[in-house]
Amino acid sequence: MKLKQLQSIMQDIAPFADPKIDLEQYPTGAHLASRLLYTVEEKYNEFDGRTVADLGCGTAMLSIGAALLGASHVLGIDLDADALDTARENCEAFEDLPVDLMQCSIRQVMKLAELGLRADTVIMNPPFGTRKNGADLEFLRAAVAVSRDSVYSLHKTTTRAKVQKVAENELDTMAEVLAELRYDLPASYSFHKMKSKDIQVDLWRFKKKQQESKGVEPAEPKSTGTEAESAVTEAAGMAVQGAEGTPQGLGMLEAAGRVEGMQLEEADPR
Amino acid sequence: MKLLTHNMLACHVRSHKHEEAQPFLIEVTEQGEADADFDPAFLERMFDRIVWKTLYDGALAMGIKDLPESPTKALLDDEVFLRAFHHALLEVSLEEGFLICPFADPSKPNEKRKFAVTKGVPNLLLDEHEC
Repeated sequence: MKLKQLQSIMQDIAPFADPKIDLEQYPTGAHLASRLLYTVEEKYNEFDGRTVADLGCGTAMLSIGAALLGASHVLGIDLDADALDTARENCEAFEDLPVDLMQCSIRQVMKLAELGLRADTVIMNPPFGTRKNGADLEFLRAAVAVSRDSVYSLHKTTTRAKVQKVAENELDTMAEVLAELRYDLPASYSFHKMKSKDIQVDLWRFKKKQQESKGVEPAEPKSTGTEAESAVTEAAGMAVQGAEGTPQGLGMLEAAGRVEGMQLEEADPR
Repeated sequence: MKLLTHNMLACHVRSHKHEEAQPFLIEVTEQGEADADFDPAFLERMFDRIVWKTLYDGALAMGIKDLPESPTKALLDDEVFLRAFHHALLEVSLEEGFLICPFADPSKPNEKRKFAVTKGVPNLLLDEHEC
């Protein structure tokens, strides 16, 4: 499937009907979601024929994308019944999508992981920890516990050093920022005074150093030189060269052209 | 909820103090079916990964009787087996019903902890004292 086609499909996925501030329910946006998913598939080939978990799946945007890109089984997990209602409706719009949904907390996901819950690949757009302190790291820990191989996740650029430390030292993973992106939140919540708010986020890849047995054959990476691969490599290289989170890094990202800015499309918040 | 998902889960109520991961029993009020891509390579990997007894018991609860009780790996070459395995694992779906822990809290021996499944979505939220 081509990127444009994927983005077009993602655009039809319904956002949160009534976003809950305390759960940090931001729309992921078709633009960002499709590029995140496309990177995982084109550069790393970690959806095709694999099991996938989406932690904090919200309206199931990433879960649906993973399924469309060839995942054999996707489990979307969220705390909020209202989000899951929307997620279920979103999934039903497709025929026979291999997506299951489940309601529980991230703490329970951790417990279930201790009891054997696993997926080959974990994808997520977790809370940033702006409402509940430490939520972002709680999701990261659970994701690494669930994954047999890689975790793809979005975290605020301002937390880069902390995330790197936790991922490498505490969780024994190889951690890499794949791209620095600008998350352009429209005024989703009525108390936002500004019209929109820019948050810089890192798209991370965390890879377990010890792959679990009974599991994953190393994915055959797609041939290098595809547009997506070189675009992301360039973006990552440029972004890291610019000092963390400076506009300069992003300016270079946009100038790279092929990445097309990777900005969130403004999603209709209501 | 497909039986592959069910196979990944175990009773997470801390106060039950299970010694081993305890799979949920399935109570079916309503079930459904979907088509899933038949992928023998995927099935082979899942065969090594899942707990067969849990799938077998879950399938029986969903009215599926054509799974062998103790398959060997050699059966993966048998298309009839593969199709039955595929169907049970990925195509039948629990829409309404319960996931039940068979072993109750010792302080309440007659009450089984039930987790509702509504429109295919299991709710595994715990009360505070169960975490």
